[in-house]
Amino acid sequence: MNLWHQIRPFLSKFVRFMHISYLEAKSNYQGTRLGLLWLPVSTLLFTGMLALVFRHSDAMTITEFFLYVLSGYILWQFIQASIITSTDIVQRQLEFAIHNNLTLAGLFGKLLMDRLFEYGINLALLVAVIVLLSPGNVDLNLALFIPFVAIIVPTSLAVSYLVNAVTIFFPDLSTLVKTGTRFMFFASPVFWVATDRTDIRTLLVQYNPVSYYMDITRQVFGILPLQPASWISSALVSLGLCVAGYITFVYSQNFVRNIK
Amino acid sequence: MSASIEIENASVSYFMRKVGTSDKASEKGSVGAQIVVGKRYLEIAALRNISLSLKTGDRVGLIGINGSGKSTLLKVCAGALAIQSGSIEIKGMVSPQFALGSGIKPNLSGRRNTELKCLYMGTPQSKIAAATEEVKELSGLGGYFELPIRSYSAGMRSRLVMSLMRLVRGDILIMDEWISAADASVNKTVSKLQSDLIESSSILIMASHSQRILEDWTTTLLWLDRGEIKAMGPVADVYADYKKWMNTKA
Repeated sequence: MNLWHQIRPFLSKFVRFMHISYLEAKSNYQGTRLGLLWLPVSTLLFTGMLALVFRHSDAMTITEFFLYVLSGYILWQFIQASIITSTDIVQRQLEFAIHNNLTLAGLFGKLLMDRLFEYGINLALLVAVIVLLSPGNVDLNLALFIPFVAIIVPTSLAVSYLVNAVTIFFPDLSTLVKTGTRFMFFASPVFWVATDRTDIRTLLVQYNPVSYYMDITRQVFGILPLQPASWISSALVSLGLCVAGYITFVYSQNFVRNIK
Repeated sequence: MSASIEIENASVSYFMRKVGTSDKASEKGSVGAQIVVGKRYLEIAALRNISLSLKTGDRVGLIGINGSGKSTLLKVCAGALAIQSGSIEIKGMVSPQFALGSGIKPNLSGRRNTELKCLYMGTPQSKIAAATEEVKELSGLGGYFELPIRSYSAGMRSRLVMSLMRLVRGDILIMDEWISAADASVNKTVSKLQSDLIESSSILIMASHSQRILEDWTTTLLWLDRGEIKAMGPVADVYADYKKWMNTKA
């Protein structure tokens, strides 16, 4: 009972911000027949195209490859949103936040909720497709979803603040960040299979941290076998990013508000 | 809970990245705070050594010419700007009212925008429907309340934005000028909303150039000049000094 009283305000805030994210996301599709359904539909269409065009491994059936790409692309969208929508948050949205009872940290939290809302919709799609196409994938590994979320949520928040801070201090990096993110899409195992690696892919899988996150999301949904090394690597990368994000926040939160 | 604002010896600067002709920025004009040309940034010293102690019941007006630091002080109290030195301690929920339309989604209807505002302002889910109806009533938008904001005229949009003030709750009310509607028919409603808001707040800080507004709503006047407090005291006295000073400048 006591625990319930402690978590209730957080749950209530969570529901409130999810409702806000829902209304705001809906506004982006205002006037369309499908409305918010365009979110999973566009994911599905793009994944289908990727899976058809880039299928290059006979080791995987078309269904397996489709699930491989879908799980990767859904996480990629979350990663991409964490980076490219974070380039000018303080300068563009702080005043709006202040008028809506949000602090600087609250603003980043609210934007994280927006990303999680869209990610949640796409995850529902992934689960539905898995249940439909490959129900055997749903097993005990699904319990890893909790540590997975515990890894990606603070990482997304930290990356968002870091990107914002860096682009405030070095505005030229804003374009570079956007271009780099596009490059990272191709350099990450979203639509290519790490086991089919050529030399360059070996390097990419080893040194591109995104590949560890891709691995663990696929392990959660039974698309790849469990590999503790990927979890350790992604947890370490996340820890580093979170520490860097926290330190940057502590030392820059005052200054960034006063840069015009 | 009683509200309070304690500012001690606070200085606030804006920073702007240097561009081509920035070196000439240190030239002194007749308005605005001092600009210091640094290596990478221009530093605009908007407030210098400000000390202010406000408690529940205080009604403070701010006056000063353009660039004197009024808006900066309001933004510091609202948390939109940080201080570089000194200290600031704010107790109570701050309700800033200087960019009323921020966050309005043009693709959403007046109703959806109102629901969004309710959610941001922390209105309990069970009371959102009633609060939305209240805003609809106040705005007088009728059927337009159900249409996307992008279809509104400027006047209709401002009707909605001002009616959203009904949802505002706060211990410390921060206003940059008294809000007047261009449309006389809605002005009475807006004035009533603002009066209610001011009366329900514990502390009011309001910047204005209007002697009538300041005398009506504030008891203490704080005169800012080039980021420093020039005078603070009863509205009538400080305003008289300010007027005299303005006449000597003209």
